[in-house]
Amino acid sequence: MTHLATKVLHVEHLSKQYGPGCARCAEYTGPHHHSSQCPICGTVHACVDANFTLHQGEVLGIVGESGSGKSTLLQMINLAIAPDHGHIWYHEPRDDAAQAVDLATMNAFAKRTFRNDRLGIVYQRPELGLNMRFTVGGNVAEKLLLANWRHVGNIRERIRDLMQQTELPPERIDDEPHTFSGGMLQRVQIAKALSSSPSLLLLDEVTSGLDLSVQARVLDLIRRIQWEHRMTMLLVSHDLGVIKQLARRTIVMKNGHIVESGLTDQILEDPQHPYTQLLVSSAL
Amino acid sequence: MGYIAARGGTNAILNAEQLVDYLRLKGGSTPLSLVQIRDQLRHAVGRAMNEGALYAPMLAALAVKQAEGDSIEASFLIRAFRSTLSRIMPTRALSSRQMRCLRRISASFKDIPGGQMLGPSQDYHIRLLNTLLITESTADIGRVHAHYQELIAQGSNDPHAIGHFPKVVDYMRDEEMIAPLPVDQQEAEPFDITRTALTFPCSRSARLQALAQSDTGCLLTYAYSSVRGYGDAHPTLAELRYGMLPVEVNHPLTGEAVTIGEIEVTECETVSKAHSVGTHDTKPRFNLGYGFTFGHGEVKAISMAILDSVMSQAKRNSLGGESGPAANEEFVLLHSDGIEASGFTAHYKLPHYVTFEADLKVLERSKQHKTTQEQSRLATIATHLKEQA
Amino acid sequence: MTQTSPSQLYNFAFIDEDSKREVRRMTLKAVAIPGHQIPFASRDLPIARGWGTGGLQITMAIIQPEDTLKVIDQGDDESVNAVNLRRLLQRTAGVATTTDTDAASIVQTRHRIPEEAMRADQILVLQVPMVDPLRWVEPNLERATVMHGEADYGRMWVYMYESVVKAGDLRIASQYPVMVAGRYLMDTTPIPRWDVPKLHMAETLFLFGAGREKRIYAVPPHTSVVPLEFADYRFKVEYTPGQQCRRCGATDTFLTSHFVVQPDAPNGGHWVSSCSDSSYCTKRVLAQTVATEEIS
Repeated sequence: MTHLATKVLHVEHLSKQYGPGCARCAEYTGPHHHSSQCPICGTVHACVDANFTLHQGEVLGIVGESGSGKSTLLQMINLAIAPDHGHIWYHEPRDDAAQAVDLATMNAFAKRTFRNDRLGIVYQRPELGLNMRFTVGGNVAEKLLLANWRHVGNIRERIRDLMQQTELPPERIDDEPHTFSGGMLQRVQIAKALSSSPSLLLLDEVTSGLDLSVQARVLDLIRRIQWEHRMTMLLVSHDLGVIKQLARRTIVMKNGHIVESGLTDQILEDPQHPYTQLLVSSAL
Repeated sequence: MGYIAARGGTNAILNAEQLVDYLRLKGGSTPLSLVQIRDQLRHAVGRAMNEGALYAPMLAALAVKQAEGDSIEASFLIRAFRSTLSRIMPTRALSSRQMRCLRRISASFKDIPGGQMLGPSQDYHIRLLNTLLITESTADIGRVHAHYQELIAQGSNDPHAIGHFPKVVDYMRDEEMIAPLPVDQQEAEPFDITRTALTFPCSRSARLQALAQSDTGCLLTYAYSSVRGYGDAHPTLAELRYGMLPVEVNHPLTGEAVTIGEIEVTECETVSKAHSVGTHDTKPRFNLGYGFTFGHGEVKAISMAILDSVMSQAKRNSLGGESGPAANEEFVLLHSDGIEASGFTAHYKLPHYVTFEADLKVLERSKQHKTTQEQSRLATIATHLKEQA
Repeated sequence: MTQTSPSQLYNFAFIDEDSKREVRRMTLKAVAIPGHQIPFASRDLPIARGWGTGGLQITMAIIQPEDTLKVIDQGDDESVNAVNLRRLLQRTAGVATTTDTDAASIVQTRHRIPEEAMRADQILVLQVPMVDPLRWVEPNLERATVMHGEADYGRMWVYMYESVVKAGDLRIASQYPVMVAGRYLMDTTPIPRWDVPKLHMAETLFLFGAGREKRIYAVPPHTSVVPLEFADYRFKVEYTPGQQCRRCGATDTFLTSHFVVQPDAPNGGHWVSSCSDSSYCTKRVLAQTVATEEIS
């Protein structure tokens, strides 16, 4: 417990834009201009030059309003969106000798295998993370099946185990998702995400839209999982309360740029950037 | 010997052919001549041509006769025949500006340069059955001919007699009302769906070709759904023209443009209300939809134009309103060919007893599984009851 | 064997040489990438779409005057549609035809693979109704194409898992999905499970033609063809212990059953099972007749 925490993810100059871009884009876009879209060429700069590091066992919060670029950033790390510039250096925590790999340069096969094996993602809306036509068990089984698990008995045992870990009744393994409540569906997503024993968990606004009491329980679960598995997490939220509960460090995004980053407590106590100050003051 | 196999397949087929013939001829009525069909059933002939994708009025008349009026069957015959023809050469790119219009209307403006010409339209017929047609005689036809000869003699000095009109969309383009074709959709050569299999996403020329030979009813249904709300609900007809289009080719020796004849066609252009926004060019413009058929097929041409417009907009994500199946290019184009659709739907008449046997086996196993599950459930309950007692 | 002279109006085997070239090129591509669907510009034929135009185009493109052709539907040479297709090919190619699988060089089939193992000098052409095995989980062709390209078959495996969970077993009765050469997921066409093992490491070339869907695919000889299955729920062929063909007594063929009316029977008749491969069945019956004649 006293060894230095190893780096898991190191993001360097990560950028994504939609449109051709022009020489004047930088002049007219960014947090000072309160806009991500260049009025000259129409290009949307969804994420500009993002840099941060994530250590093993750490929870990094990403705060921003809608349009800030936080979901784009998350989806680039999820290898679902290809960045235009930058690197996503990954260090395999299970293997100290392993070299850092730039996830952004992997081919489609490798990306898919990596995403299935080493990443887990949970979405705000269950229909994004789950297939509503399959049973709950089928949904949780998907990553296992993709990883070539071929014994139904073993698969079901693992599913039940995961359901117990996420406080879901294991006897409901064959039920359809539409018979589950919103909070329970978030747990199903978490169970699915954990099924491959990932090294990084991505959480995109997972409690937004849930009742406060349900939210609290899901947050408790996430905290417990983080503790039990020493899970490295990237937590996107617009809710400072959620960030405060789970994230040790936070980055704040506005109009595609990271405007502030540091220890969550410090940022909330003593925000430096005017936008962060605005967020913090309006949260109360 | 208990077992009797189904034999005599060849005889059955030959007898079937004879029976079909008999049904057509048993009434003993006067045989239909191809000229009669071409002249007096021109919409059936036109439909066989445009769904058969071959411009050949007399062959289409033959197909209509052979198919006993079944429009899908008639277009099937034409399509199969087209397959046997070798291709001589492509035409030059034709423009409907050269069309000799018999009919030309626009719903976009009250008046248009050249004027609105109603032409031979059934639109304003009051749909009452005309019993005079029951006793129509050759003499009646003679009188109609004589009357028209007089009208023609009177009208031949009219400058509009030739029926050349400017295009309404050209004026719209001059006024910058219409979005230009995006760069990624411009093609040097049109796609040829008869030589290359259609894959998705497909180019606009591929889409238009596929729509042009699609079943009229199918296109109508999809277009109707899109204007009722599941798509681009507000198309405006820029122009509808029906008439004779000259066909030009490059002379094989001299390379000069040569007109080899005329074809009877219908063309429709619509503009949509949803404003499409180009990438660099931020001015909003209307989106153009294009429809075209051989023969006089207004419903099909309009439906095609609406669908072309809906699909273009859907691809650009600029569709207003709820999008439905009509906006899904793959969904429409894979299901709109009448010959394919009817062939596969009808193929269920073919024997399927091998797969059915396989299905029965699976059903048995499923039933056994359910029974086993039920039994184990009851056994568990019984055990619980015993333990409680 | 029968032979008729070809019709003078049409090219040999009906379709023109350009069309044949298209089909042959795409077939070669298909053979080079086992199990992968190759789009081809399927021609309109005088036979309706859905009634064998894909298989026909392949046969028309590869058939030579010296070939011997067999056509079956549901395993039966005398099935009306088989008769009709054979008629068209006889008229336009004038090739010899046969009902004996052994004697044929090309066999065109719908929904069955012949019981007698085919050789390296023979080709089996299968008629395909629906091409993409992913259609159960992804009806959109564009997305399914990407899934094939990335060997992204996870959703199909979930589908198989779901069928075990809901029906207690792998539920697919025909058109069983298989992995070909360990790379592509392929639809085996509506052949019964009984026939699926025949595709694996076979001597003969299997060509699959879908005319309406406009795809060709192939399983070359000595290619691995493995049905999707689980370690604890294995792929099983249809087999009822004690099953027997009523006609020839075979216990190791695929049987289909039908009701035979007998006025004096208690429920008006009874079910009989017989070989679906009718010519194989007839061969066996004849062999038994000869055998009994030889004994007596």
